[in-house]
Amino acid sequence: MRWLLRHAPPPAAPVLCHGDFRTGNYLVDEGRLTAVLDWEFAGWGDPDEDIGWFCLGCWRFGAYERGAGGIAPRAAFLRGYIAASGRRLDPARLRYWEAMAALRWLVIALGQRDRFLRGGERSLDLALTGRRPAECELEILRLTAEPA
Amino acid sequence: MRDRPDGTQLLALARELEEIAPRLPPEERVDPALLARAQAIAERERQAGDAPLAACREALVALYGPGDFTDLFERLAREIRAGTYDAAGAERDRVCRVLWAVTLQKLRESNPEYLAASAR
Repeated sequence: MRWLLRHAPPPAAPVLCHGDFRTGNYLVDEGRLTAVLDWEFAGWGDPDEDIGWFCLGCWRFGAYERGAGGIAPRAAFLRGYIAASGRRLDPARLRYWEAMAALRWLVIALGQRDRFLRGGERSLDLALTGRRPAECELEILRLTAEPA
Repeated sequence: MRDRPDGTQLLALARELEEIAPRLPPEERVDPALLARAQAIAERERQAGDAPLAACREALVALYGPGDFTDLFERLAREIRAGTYDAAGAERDRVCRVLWAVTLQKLRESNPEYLAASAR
């Protein structure tokens, strides 16, 4: 949180963001995107927020080396994004939003864990989510490491 | 250092859900993959015992000197929030070593597959 406070980029012109754009929330048929699901977090925001969320290590479902949602190399995804959107991407902004994504998922995971620990929900899924924050902490430590 | 729920809590919940499973319709029964994950975490914690906690304590003591683990860790959190380690340098490197030690130790028990995959 301290790093995010100190490294917040200047605000970007707001765009419509999906808010939960990640592998698991879109449908693909024969290599083509057919639907984007789960729009309940949609809102106006920084366009890089959705990219950071999509690239978060926790959404690669084991295919960690495919840096874009576990489905493609990160560089290929970013090339495709730039070609489709016409936007320029700033690595420092992406780094910030990826660290923000990791913190966001960490906070959500703790909230889900508390539904088990404090709320008494007898869900093993929720309980196990309490053991996910370390994944986010690893990503945050990597992303916030200062270059030597 | 371990995040909660710990292996004992996970195992207790897993057993409880396994017990009631035969009385539930199939779609409401606990997912076997989740059961396996809970059991694996509990087993890794059992095997590791207190050794990982000692490793984290050692990293903290290297930073601050001897003291109560919780007190030292809370002090570290307070100082990070206050900006004590904002500047690059030897002190900040020591803090990063503590954070890495704690995080790697937690992942070794909670999700070693993630750790292995991310190291590739």
